[in-house]
Amino acid sequence: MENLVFILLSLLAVLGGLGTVSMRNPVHSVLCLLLTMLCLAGHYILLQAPFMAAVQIIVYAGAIIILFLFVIVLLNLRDDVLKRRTLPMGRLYYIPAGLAVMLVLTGLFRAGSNWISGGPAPEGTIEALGMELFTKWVYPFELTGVLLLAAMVGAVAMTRRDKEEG
Amino acid sequence: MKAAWITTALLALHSLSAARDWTQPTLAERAAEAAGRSPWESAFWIGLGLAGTLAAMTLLGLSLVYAERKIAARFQCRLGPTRVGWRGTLQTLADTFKLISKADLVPRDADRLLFFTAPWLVVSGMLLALVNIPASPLLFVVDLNIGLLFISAVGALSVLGILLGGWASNNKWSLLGSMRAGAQIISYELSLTLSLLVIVLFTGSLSLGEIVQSQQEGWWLWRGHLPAMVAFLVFVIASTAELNRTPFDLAEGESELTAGFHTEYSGLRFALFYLAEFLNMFIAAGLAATLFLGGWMPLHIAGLQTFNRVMDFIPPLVWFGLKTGGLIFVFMWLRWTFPRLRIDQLLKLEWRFLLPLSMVNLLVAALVLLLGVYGKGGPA
Amino acid sequence: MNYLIVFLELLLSMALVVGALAFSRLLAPRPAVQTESRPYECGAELVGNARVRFHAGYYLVALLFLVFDVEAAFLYPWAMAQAQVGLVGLIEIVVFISILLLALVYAWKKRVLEWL
Repeated sequence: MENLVFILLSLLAVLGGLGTVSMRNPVHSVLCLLLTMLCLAGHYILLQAPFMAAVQIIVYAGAIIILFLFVIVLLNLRDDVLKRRTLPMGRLYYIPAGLAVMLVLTGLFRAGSNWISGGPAPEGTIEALGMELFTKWVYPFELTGVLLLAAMVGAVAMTRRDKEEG
Repeated sequence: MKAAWITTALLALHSLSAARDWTQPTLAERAAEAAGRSPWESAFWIGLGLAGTLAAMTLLGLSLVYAERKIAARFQCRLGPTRVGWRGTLQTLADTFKLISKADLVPRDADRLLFFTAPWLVVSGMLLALVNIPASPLLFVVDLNIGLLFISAVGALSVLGILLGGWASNNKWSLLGSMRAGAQIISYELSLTLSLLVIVLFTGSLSLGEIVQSQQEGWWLWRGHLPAMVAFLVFVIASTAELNRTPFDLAEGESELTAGFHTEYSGLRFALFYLAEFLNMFIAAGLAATLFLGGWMPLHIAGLQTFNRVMDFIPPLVWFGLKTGGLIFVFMWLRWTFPRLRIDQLLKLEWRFLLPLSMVNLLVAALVLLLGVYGKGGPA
Repeated sequence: MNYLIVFLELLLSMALVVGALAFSRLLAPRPAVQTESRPYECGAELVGNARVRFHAGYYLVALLFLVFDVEAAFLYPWAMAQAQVGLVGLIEIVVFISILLLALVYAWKKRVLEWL
């Protein structure tokens, strides 16, 4: 039963991923990305990690996809631009992509017959996560804060350059 | 199986009586418990949960629209609907049938796939949040251990629905409205989350069932001292903004944007957006009642034994209804009292005032928790 | 079981929307004149494409939101564990929140919050 759900979710997620890269309309791509994200959230629930599932939806579906939508509207590519879909030296990108696929496949083969269940999920509550985060992983946690700050400063600096004088 | 029917019959009665035992299993727990014994009974509980949500959605939708029209009318010295049914109570039902019988228009240039997906996203976001609301110890479908987080997660689906709906319509009003709505909802989402976190901090739990149970001693609004009160105010303001209601209704702003993101939606598709909007108001009010006002717990005042005894006799469902109804009235009151803000004022209010305020408030709450000064005294 | 019901609700909402639209198709008249399907803009002739370019301010708001949303995701486990972690947890979160308040102050000083 669990395996069946897993396989269905994975198929949908892969389908969504393929849709994301192959759709001509960027907003349709975003919709496919949403499908992938929802399926990943489903995977987290299967792994008994509902907190991760909810964060997945909040951060990806709630923030990143909305950011993408805003960027799409900001750029607002016309149909004629969208028809020229080839990137410069587009073919070259197949090489790293192919390598990545090979890496994943090797991983799958090495995992052997255990590839679906991957062993029992560690028992964890959100509270336990919080305890870990605030006792063992304090520095990485605070560094995340600094990282977020840096990300924001960068973004503001890039978009707001011209407003300095005016 | 027979037991299930009997329990259902009792359920109706029990939810109206003063339930002394406040730890009832949710419908999902009943289903899980029955799964081993009899799959049919399990399916029965699940079906009851689903049917109950649908029934609640329909009933609430009809009555909230009616209430809004009546209250709006009273605020403007009018009578509101009076003709259809007793004092116009069937007016919304008649309007629903009217909307169903309208032509299903899809604009020529619209993106058909997204034009359909958008109302679905909005409705599903609403419905998924609705199952989590504890209306009484017995009328409680699902108690997720990440309940609050889950509700804010499905809120993301509604925002996406609004954004995609506006984009799909291929209309300038719609796009403008949906972009405004998007910016507004995500901004206020932050202070909403931070004010929820105050209660999470006090209870140490995200489960709505546990949060209600934790208020047996007294409502968090009083027990949480100043931080809880500030959080409550921030919650009400931020959820008014999340709901796109006046004074934060620039997403629709009928005098400037026709109808905002759903300008191009007509007939039943429009009805679905409208339904979700009103149900989201119920969810926001229900959530505020659950977090800050003790959910279905009766009002107790420490020391007044007789008073507390009398309060206990009022059924939990009525308590929940009163608190939620009161908050819904506040939302409507705000709507018909204040003029609309401008978008820059709106964003300034959030980013310059509410967000820093709720961050500091959360830290003060943590300090209160650390000093352990909550929980004693006050109306309990 | 909980998530099964949640998933069924998701399907239910789909069925509701599809069912309602099918029902309305049975009852509702089909528009005879095609002009009805033109976008509504004050009844005048349309000018240009609706998908106009937008102000970059919206993008910045979404970006700010992303930063603070990730922050909120970190705050959930903290809020649940705070009662056990005690003073140390409070100090850590004060540091964390002040770093992010710094981000807000920066955006403020750069007048990101004064757009339009």
